[in-house]
Amino acid sequence: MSAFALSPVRITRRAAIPLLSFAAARPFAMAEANTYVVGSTATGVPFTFLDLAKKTLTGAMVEITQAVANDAGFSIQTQIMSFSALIPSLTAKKIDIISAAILRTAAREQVVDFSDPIFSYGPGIVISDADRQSYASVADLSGKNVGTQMGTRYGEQAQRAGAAAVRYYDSLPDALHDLHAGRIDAAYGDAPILSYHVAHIPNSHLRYVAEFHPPALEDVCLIVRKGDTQLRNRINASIARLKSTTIHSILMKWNLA
Amino acid sequence: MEMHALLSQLRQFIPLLLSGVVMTVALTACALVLSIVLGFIWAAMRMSKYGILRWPALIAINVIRGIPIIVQLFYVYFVLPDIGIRLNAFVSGVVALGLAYSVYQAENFRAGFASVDPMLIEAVESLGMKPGTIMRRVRLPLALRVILPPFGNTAIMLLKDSSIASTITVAELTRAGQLIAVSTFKNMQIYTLVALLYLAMSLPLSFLTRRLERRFARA
Amino acid sequence: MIEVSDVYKKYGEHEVLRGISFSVKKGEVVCLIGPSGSGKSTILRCINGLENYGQGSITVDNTPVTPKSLPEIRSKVAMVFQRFHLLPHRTVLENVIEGPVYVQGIDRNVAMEHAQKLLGKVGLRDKFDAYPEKLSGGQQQRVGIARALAMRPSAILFDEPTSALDPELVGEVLRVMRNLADDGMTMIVVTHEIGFAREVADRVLFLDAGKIVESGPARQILTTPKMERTRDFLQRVIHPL
Repeated sequence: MSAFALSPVRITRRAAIPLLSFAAARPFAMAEANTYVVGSTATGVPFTFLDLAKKTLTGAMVEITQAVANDAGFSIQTQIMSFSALIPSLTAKKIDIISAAILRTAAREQVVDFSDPIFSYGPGIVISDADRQSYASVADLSGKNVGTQMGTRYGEQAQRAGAAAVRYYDSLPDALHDLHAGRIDAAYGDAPILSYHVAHIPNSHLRYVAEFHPPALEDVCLIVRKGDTQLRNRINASIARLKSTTIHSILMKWNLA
Repeated sequence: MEMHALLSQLRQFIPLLLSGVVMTVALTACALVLSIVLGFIWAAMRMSKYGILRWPALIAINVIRGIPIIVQLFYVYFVLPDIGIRLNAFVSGVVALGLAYSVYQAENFRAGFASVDPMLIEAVESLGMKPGTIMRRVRLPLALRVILPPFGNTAIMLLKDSSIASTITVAELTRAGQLIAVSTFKNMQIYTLVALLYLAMSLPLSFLTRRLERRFARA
Repeated sequence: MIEVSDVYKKYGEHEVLRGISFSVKKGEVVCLIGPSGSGKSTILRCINGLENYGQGSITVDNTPVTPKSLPEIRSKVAMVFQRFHLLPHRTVLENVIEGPVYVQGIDRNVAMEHAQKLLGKVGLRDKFDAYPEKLSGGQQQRVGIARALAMRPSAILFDEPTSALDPELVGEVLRVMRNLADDGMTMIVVTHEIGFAREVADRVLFLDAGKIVESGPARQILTTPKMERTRDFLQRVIHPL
């Protein structure tokens, strides 16, 4: 075998093809991966929702997630799914990050890891505008048929407050639809989502209860798999850098701050 | 300790899942009854000598057969309120499932009655038997022998399809499982339990149906 | 007691009965013979109303056969079919009491006793609780005859009663029919069994293409037929080769 055949150049070239195909087949196996799959819902207005005109996902969390990704130096692909599919998809490694209006709770913290908080909010109530009753606290839901989103604790809260019946919907817009149809008396769920919907549905005959005092405010964060410390740290670093600038202006833009 | 924790968790889930079972059984039973009543009406219309009864039935059967049950369900639940017909979730489920399955029942009834040998009818007519008595003593019993085994299978299918009602908030077994899984994240345990509970309901039905098939197998 | 007068019938454009006339006296045994499609079964079925007829008249015991009078007609005239047509979901005994109990309103026990006697007469004493599918063709036909007898008819119409039977089973049925004739039952029998006709029938009618070609005393028609067509037919039936 000639010396040339064994030269570094030739070896590199001969090795390049298997190496490249190896790389193409396993992009996430690299030391510091640079594309992550983000799971979001299409019904979490104004955090994550579908812009029908542009046919893309848009919203406060969508924009914040993109800003964080840009700052941290990775690219993202988005997958849309139902709210209740978010955590199972994350743990099953179908997605790597959850970006949605999903609050940090003790139960969830046992299963997934939360980044530093981006925003906080509490629940809100929507009723028919023919309902003249005042709903100042959760206790006022007593004796009512309440609709909530499946996978949130608002159903439990309504039940403990003495609701006559609690119906679980896949999304809050579905609950509002049934409220409009008179099948439930009140919808109880994420305040920003409810108020945005009511403000933007024409002739809904619904009222977002402004006087309601939520029992507690909770945090919205980006969510990663339990133990994915490296990714969480990258995200937290970017959140810290962007908190008072980009993140704040995005929240302002969507009337959340 | 592991086992103890698991058992106490199961004790938490089981009551909720069992109330889901009750709802599934109620939904299936009501939809089954509706499908039989409607199926009988379609079959009678189809076999009528009056075209004005036959054609609407044919059209209805083909339309219902051509649309997925879940779409029919959404239609009943989400679209009907817009024209003033507001049914609650359970009733919507019963109506949609009953309607969808009525076409299987109709076909089955029709096949059952068609299987009765017309010469046999001639023989009892020659005895002077009246049409009502013929129906009662001859047509019905003989048609039932052909109708019952497929009917058993249809009932099992309806039991499984009752899970479709989970999409419109009916708190049947599948929905109950979803609700628990989504709050506790224990998908494997919950969905395994749900599957076992469905089997507990469908296997006896399968067994009964096979018994029926064997009993009526002699041509 | 049965009068058929100038009966015509069409199936669409095809004339299947072209002026059939004959009468049957009480106690007479009349055999109808002829090639298939000649209308023999059709005229039989017109008598008990399973078919309508166009022109002409049919009366049974002076009652004209019309759609309205069928219940009455069928209480006087019973039929035995080529393929028996027993109820498959009932036992032999249940088959025989079906008519008396559910049509004539007779008390079940009374009907059962009578049915058992009749089944004994046709030689099926040990088959009361058997289901038809378990019986041979000859046995099923005998049940069919018992079923007809249970209605206590004034006359019995037989539509090719042995044509669907294996040859060795034909005899047992013909013997039962002969006994009936000896007991004085009025019978009209459509058959290919020339031997039976010769031995048991009082009169024979030969039909061809919807018309009665020849009729007369059984022995005479069958041994010395006058018409050529009758001769040809008998020749073909008795000596096929």
